[in-house]
Amino acid sequence: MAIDLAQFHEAFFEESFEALDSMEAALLQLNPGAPEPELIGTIFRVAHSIKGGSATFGFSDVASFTHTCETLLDELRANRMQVTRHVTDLLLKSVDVMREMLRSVQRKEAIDAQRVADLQFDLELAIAQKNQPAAAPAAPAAEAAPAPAEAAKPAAGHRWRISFRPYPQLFVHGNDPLRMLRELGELGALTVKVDGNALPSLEALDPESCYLAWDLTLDTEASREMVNGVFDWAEGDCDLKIEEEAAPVAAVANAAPAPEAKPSNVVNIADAKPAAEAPKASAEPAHHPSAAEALPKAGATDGGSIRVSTEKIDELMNTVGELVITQSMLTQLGSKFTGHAAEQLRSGLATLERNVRELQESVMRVRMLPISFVFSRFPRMVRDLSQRLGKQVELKMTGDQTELDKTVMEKIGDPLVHLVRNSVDHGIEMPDKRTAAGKTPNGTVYLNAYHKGGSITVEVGDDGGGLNKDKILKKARERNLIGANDVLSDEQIYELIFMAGFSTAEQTTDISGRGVGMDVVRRNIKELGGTIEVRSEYGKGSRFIITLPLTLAIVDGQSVAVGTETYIVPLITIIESLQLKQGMVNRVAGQGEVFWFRDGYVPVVRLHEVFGLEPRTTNLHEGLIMVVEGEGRKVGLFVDDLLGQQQVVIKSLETNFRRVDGVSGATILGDGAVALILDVPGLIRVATQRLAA
Amino acid sequence: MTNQVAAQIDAAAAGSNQVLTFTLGDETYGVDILRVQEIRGWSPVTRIPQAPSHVLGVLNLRGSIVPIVDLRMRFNLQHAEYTPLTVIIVLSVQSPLGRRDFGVVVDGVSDVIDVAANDVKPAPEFGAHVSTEFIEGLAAVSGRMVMLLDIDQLIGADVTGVALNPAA
Repeated sequence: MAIDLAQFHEAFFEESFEALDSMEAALLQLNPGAPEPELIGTIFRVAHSIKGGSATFGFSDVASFTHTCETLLDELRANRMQVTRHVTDLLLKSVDVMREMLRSVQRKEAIDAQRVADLQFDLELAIAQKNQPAAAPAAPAAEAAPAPAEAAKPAAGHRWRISFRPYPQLFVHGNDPLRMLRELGELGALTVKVDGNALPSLEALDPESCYLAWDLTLDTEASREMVNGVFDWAEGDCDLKIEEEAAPVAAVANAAPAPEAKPSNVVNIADAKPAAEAPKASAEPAHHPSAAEALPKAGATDGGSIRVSTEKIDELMNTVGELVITQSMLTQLGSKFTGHAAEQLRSGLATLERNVRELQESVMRVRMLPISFVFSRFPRMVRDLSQRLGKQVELKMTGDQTELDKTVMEKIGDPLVHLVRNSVDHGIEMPDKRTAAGKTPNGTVYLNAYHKGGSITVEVGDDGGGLNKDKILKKARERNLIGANDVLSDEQIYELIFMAGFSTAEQTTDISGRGVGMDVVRRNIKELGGTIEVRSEYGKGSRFIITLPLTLAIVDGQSVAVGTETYIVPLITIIESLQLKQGMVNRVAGQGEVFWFRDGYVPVVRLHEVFGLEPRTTNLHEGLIMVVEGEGRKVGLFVDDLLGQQQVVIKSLETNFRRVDGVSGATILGDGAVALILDVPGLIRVATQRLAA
Repeated sequence: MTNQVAAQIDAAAAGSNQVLTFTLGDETYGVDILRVQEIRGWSPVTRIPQAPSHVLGVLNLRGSIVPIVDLRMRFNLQHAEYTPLTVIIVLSVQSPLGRRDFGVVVDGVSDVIDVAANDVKPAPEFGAHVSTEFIEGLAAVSGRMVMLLDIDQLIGADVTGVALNPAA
């Protein structure tokens, strides 16, 4: 084939990683002892398509390993082997290994061959052991290449007549008919007849087109679904007919071949619509229930989404932003007209405004994903951790469909992992200790996400031991983080665990306890513009409550005027806006101005001085004071006037310019002008430096 | 006619460049046409705190935020009023941090001319009074002198914050 298959690699990797995630999820749901056939089907399909893909692309190591997995899964599916904890563990490990192998191949690194070989051996051992009593001949059947021994074993069951007529473009999508034939050969005894009628003369032959067709006869015990599965990747590139023929000799026992041979039973893969497939599948006799279930399902799960790069979405957002500005310009213009036609114009403009706003909201929503993308890693993590620690931990997740922006999602993953890990390691006690404390031996870790106002709240909690205030205090005194006689409130004590280098775990484990962590967690969350707080009751458990903005692309802002300029102050930083009366301001050392606010003195920062502007007034009681908070410090920002609240789209100044102290970005206002968004903590820093200078 | 075509081909072989010329007062400057993104009229800008005085502020250019530099102030020429006839040329510079777009305010745009590489002469040294490091060369085109600007040198530092030459 003259085609460079490499162009399909990325898509294959992405799909495979996703498929592995779903395989992992299905494995975790699998009940030892009473497995749901549907779940095993899902798992099997993943292994199968990864095997097929990697064989096509020539990743032979991956294909070989996946083949072993598939064999084991096939045993499970056929109920020849019991689903035990050991088997699920092996399969979960296989998921890890497959992921790693694919990643290595993707990065063109060497595969850890020893680890792969070890696990492959374990898998084979499991297959061999479980097969002894029940179905001994099945193992070689799946393992071996088309062996004559199998042809002599007509007890198999079905004789499938397959007419495989690829379209000329088959190769373009990276399909290799030879591979499919080989795979069919592994299922049973295969007779192949090539139909070369379509072959053109040599000078007319296009080497990148497929002209051959095949008529195949397969004696096998494989179900229609399995045979169909071989052609999964060629879907849409071929006419495929699979019909069952009156089976040879013994197979008559359990089959009802007569109705099946009718053409009504033909499954045309080229026609992938689930609606069309469902009736055909259900027309099949009852002894293929799994096939009937699987077909419409496969269609339903792949159809719903497409992959779009975030760059394209950002472009779309920019264009919509421009549209909003143009629309508001038109609205302003429209209000100047008079007369009958003007009325129509204005109603048209009102409709335009509504449509534009809806469009903008929809585009914003495109960037939003359910938080389950982050949550999905936890069941596996909690399971592994609790096993390693010898604890019994149950994970309860709620609100995993809560949506938030992709960029926030990417950054919240690590802090959450850290918190969950802490809960399992430090929070939940050992089973005997729990029983002694009058609790159930198995602990619970909660993950809960919900929307609250314009932000999302994520809670990580456990019903474990809770924070020990005395221990925290003692540790803090040892490390000189607080004075020996300081009296702290509960909140202040809990705050201590967020300090760098602080850990109360008596023993450092490889899971947690090194004291790097909580400070990083808090820093990450702060960088996102969020907050974290702790609630805890000793002996009953603790709860970490994280509040995050829904998106980093938009901020709720208050516009303020200073001189001729407009600035946006993020609403989350504003505590209160007030007007000072004469006499409320005191001077410190003749310079710094402070005023009394709630329970302390707050310094005044004149924005016009920091930014070097000409204000409308320098008289404190003529303008307005906005009390803002950043990094735990409050200042009173002096501005000319408040203009209004609005949601603004954040744009970086650094795209074309450089970072400016006290400014976090810029936005485009309704009239097309640019307004700078204030970075309150940065501004406070700049202002303090000015005072010090 | 054929001679002219031949001359053009020769010029291309010798490394001819198309240059956009613009005026500042009595002087004519030129920039490589491939760097020019667009030419637009003046509109009020948003000031940026702590920026050098010749960085006037930022503008919204179809959704992206673009800094605007006043070349007269950059060259210490006499300040001119901004009128609706004032022109902003949007250029792209290559900086160590990647491509940056920015606008320069000039008095007026003149022409697009071909400048052959061998017509470009190095700028003479003027000593400490006149800095010439951002002048790529001088070209004589139909009796007028055009100063070809090295915009990466001239603006790159202002835009990325890596100061090569402190604002005069």
